[in-house]
Amino acid sequence: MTYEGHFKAALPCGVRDLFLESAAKLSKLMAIWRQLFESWAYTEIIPPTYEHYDVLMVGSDADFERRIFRVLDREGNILALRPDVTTQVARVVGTKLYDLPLPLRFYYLTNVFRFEEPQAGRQREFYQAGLELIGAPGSEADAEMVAVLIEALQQVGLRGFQINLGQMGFFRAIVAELDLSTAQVEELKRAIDRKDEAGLGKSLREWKVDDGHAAALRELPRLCGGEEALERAASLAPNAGALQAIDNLSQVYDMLSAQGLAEHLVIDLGEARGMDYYTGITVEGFSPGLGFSICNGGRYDELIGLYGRPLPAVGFGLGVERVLLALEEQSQQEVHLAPHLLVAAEAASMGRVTLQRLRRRGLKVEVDVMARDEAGLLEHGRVRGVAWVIVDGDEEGALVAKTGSQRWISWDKLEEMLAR
Amino acid sequence: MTKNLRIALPKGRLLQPCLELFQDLGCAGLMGILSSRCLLWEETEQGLSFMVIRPADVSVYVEHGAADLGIVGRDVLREGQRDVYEPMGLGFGRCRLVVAGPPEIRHENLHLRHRLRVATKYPRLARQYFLKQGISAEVVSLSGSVELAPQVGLADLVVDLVQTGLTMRENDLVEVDEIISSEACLIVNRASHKLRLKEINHLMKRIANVIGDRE
Repeated sequence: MTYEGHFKAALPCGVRDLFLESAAKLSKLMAIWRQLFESWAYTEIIPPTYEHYDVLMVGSDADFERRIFRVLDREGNILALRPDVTTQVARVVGTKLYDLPLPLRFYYLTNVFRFEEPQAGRQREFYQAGLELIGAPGSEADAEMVAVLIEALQQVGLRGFQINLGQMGFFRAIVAELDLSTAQVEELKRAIDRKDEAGLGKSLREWKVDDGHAAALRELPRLCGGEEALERAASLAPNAGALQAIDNLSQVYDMLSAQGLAEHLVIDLGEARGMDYYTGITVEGFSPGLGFSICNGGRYDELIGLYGRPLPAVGFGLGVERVLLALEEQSQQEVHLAPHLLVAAEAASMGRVTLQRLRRRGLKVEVDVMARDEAGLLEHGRVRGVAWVIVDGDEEGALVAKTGSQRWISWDKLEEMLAR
Repeated sequence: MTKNLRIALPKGRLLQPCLELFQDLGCAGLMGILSSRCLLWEETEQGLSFMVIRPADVSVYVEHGAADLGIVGRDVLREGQRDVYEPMGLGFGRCRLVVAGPPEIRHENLHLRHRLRVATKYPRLARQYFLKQGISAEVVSLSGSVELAPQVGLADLVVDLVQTGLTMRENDLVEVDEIISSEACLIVNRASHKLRLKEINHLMKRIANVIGDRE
């Protein structure tokens, strides 16, 4: 259905308008997360929406290349809409903030753009909320990142979610000792990515990978579970680097368990995916009934150095629309758009001091600007779902209609009643 | 979590062996799905639900999590390029995706062709194959009877499935190259695999046992 006199209503593929409940729900999550991130002493970073394409590509995931929105400006420069914020933070930190005391803690709440088929819970423009903890190389920083992530999901009321913890260092350390070409490593990653154990085994045999390394790689897709998966991985680790990766994961797991967060955690070394820039711990979050992940993140110790001063860093990003879908799946996340109070124009001017105080307390006060009569005002209040309607007022007090009855109440009394 | 695991099965040539597989697994009444109008078939005792859909849609359902698992030919899976796990081949429905053409094209240097038209039901895989060879082929996407195309001048080559090779021979086509060999594959939604790992591993073990017993 379209309005008869409509003017071009179509939107390009991949974007949408958010208004009323959909906008309010998105903002509500953002507001909760803003407060949470600030309470952990993170400060906001607001990088520009677009940058020079080649600058952004320095640190971008290879997979992004095809999926970047490119724009030509009038001088012929190739610009790119940001496909993620982490790369931008790396550029800012590496080139501008290199001599600030460490660590740096940044959060962002913003839109990103990817030129891909719109997916479940993700348009071409979508929103991300995330943080980056920069300058700290150790397990404490990793654990803080995961702890804040879990708290972020808890605070919006999501239940039964699961965070899978992986470690890219394990795969990297094993592969580093093998004499494989980049293409062969990519093939290994692809097989692990599909959990294609047969294909993985075949490639390893074909390339004559020695038994120790092959055994660890072959088992990767199945290295998933609780602490026993860590023990198994440690026993398979063919070198010090791989063992170090498992040590880091064990430490993070223990620290989070000590905070009572173990119920959300699953050890999962069976992923070689994620951003190319991940070098250590990785996280990916899932919620029951949702066929895709709701957040991901990890350690990226080599990214900032591509722009300037090398600094270790770890961070995560939450898919805001996807978390909203997960909450809807659990019938969570209600927002109330209706005002608390609807006031006739004249009464509003009489009681403006009281109404201002109520607004400052966070109440939503709507003033009638349509010159409605009493019946019209009551009807409008009913349609809008307003509990309190003030149909008349003088200097002393207001005529309040509430659930069918009307009575005069002094402004002070009204404030007292509504403030409760 | 008491919800059944949902399994998407493909209509067509793979359906019968798929149903037999799950029948051997203990879904005694599953053949009833063939005569039922129900789109979602429950095998509550086994904790499984089944849906029968078009082969190309199986990986779509599984990628989005509308089905937790699915069975689909590797040929269709690669053509669709969906982000799903494919932990095991099932050993049935074996066939090969090949490039074929009239006998005289076999010894020709295709790079010298000014234009090369290829008819196929697998436009993505066909395009990918010829790009890799450095041949700029024009891909004509069809939805059936691909073997006819060279005879009536619609295409110079075809990219199509062969099982026995009989259809190819009957239409006077010879194989030029193999693109992939295919079989029925079990695919799994990524999130389901994370969230319901134990159930899915258990099911996969049982499937592996059934297949092992057959061999």
